[in-house]
Amino acid sequence: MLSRMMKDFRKNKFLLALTLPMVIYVFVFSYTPMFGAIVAFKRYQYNKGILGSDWVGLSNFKFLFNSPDLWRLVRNTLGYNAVFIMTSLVASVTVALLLYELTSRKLLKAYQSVMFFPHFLSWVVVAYMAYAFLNPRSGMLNHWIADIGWSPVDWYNEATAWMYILPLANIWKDIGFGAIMYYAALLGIDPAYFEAAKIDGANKWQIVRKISLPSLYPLITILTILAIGHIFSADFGLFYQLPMNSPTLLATTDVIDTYIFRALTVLGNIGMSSAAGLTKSLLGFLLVLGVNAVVKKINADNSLF
Amino acid sequence: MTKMKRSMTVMLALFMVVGLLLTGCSGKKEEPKNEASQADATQSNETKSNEPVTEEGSNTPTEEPVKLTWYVYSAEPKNAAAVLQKANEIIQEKINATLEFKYVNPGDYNAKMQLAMSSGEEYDIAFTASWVNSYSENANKGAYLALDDLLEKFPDLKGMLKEEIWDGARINGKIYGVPNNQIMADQPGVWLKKDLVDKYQIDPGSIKSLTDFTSVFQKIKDGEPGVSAIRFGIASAFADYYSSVVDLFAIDTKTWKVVYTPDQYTDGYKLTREWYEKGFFPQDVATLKDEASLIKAGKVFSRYSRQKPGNEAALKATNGFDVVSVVTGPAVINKGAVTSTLNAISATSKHPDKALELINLVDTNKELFNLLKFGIEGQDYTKVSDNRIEPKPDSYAMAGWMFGNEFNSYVLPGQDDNVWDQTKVLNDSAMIDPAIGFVFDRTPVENEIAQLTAINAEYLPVLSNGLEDVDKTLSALLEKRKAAGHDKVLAEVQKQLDAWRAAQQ
Repeated sequence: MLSRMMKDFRKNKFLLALTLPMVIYVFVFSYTPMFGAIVAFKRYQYNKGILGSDWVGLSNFKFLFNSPDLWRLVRNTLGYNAVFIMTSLVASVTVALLLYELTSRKLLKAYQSVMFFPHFLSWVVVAYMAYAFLNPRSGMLNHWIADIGWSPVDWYNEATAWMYILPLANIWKDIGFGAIMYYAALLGIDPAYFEAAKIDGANKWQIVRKISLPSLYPLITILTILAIGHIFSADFGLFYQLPMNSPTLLATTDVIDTYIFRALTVLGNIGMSSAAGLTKSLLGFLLVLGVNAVVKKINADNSLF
Repeated sequence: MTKMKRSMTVMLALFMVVGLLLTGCSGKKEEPKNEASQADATQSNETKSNEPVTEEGSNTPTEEPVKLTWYVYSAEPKNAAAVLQKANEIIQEKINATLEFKYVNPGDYNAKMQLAMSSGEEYDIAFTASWVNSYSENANKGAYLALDDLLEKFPDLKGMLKEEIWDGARINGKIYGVPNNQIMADQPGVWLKKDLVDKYQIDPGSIKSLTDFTSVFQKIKDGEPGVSAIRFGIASAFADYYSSVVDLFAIDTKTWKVVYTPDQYTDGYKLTREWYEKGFFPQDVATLKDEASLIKAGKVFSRYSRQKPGNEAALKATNGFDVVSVVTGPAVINKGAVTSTLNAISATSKHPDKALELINLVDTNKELFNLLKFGIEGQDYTKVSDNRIEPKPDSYAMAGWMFGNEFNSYVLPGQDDNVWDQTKVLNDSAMIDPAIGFVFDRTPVENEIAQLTAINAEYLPVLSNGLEDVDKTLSALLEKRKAAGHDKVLAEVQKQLDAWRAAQQ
């Protein structure tokens, strides 16, 4: 066993050396800090340090699991993330397929840049752009609504509207990034397939269904599995900044992350916030394993590991 | 597949080797440093305790000046290096130490200090308060040094504040920070825009209750379209004083019973709801982001404001118009006011004696305080008279309330010559909260408080701005709070309060 390992090691030493920087990086920044997870079970005190602080068992987890809002938090977090995963998948793949049909290089670059740009904006910036549309005093949307004779809406007090605003904003911001990845995968398909299909008289729709999409499945599954791993951690910027932290919107905008922020900014309790983070990571990890197992059952080649 | 697994094992082995190497390195490096610093600390403690602390700081010239670091809640002001150099001449002469301010942008202060504390960084002094870099939390978590014994060496500093004020700074019976001497009395009030007061012949003196505001606001609403009558709700104005403890619990100091404050302000909330329906608030009262520009544009008629001498002049400077004040409650010195600005000495400080000596010096030396507050004469300001200055535009300035004794401050244009005398009168005449010395230890109910805090953040803005029906909101709030441990926290506060009262007698 050991000699086999050594042989393997010697044979691949240059390739392994290439991975070394990343291995060190992951070890230092992802694995080493995991020891810090023990503060989730401690009552952390500055003067005693992480190891010296007293153990408190699971008490740091209580504030999250005993919360009267727990149902709302889980529903919103999972619900929105599920919607986000589906909508951005459909939107990105569609856009990638459309981009692939473009023949003009110039137009292609222009579309890509325009759609990719929002990805670089921070949610804080996006929030103020939305505010310019939605605020009740000078918001553009309300001016338009008034122009066609309807009465203006105070969007930041209208909880149901945010069930649509949030996914829309998310697609707008994410679509470019996803589309580029799928577009790159499309470029990787051997053009011979497309040519053969054309010669056989397949139409565009048939080509998409029988060639393009099946070639994208591995990438789609991998990205979706990874996204499901994060399903318990909502994008804090989106849910906190975009609704401008309006208290009347919490019914539809409150997610686990914003709840933790609201509950703990005053307390600044490191133990409790670690407990919440650990819970989310653990659930995400289990989900990844679960989904991967399911994918493996259906088609082993598409699974992540 | 098997190949992949094999390379994975190799990678794992690599992880371990690298990990061992890394931990090995850090372990070796840390050890001698720790020893050295410990030796250093004990040594300096010894020399310090052997040495009598005197006003002049009788240090032998051979001793190296001690370098002290002080975290302040402020961006680096212009000309800071020159000012600090000049200040250090004074500080070195008086106490044989040098000061280095660590400027942290206000928005980053909480995060920066959390990091400094959790990484065990060595620093000497930090600005702390109830509202940023939480004084009580940090003291509870052992970030600061208890100063009770050290303070006895500085009678001037100890005598600067009344005993009750020192009591207000106590956490679990010990003093962990030196409150900056400034306006201590907390008095609520409301400013009204003077041009509109004159235009509609409003008599501010006639406003004696919350309902008296309604007719005033109605006049503004009717006569001035586009102007909001009041910025946000003031439901607790003119209500009885309760000494707030934690969450929404407060002490009724007449009966020494713990009360749940929304119950006390129900009438105020109902009136606020009426105001909201009448359109007295800006439409986005709870989410308004840029309040300053709205006020400057003259679109707001009135707003809550803490009362203090010179307040009208200060408001005119920021808002650009004259205001009249209506006082809406008694002046009280309570725990919140005392802990609104303090400076604490870090538990990691190697020279706590020197650090306190420095705080003492800044608080008692008028020249040094004004230098650190206004900068250098000629460069940053011009002297108009003995005690009055005119700052130059775009020059050095630091908030005096952050680090020193404001009663030593020069006065600025727009301030009365005797503004600090007036402040002293207000401080001395204010009622001292009878529960000022009581500190609630939240450890037994921390989970409940975290949940209650999150719930309050959802309902309080609704209540205090009248966004929804009051009875409905109040009962929804209470119902949710009960599920989160409202009763348990209430009982705990009452229990600790009774224990504290028993110990007082």
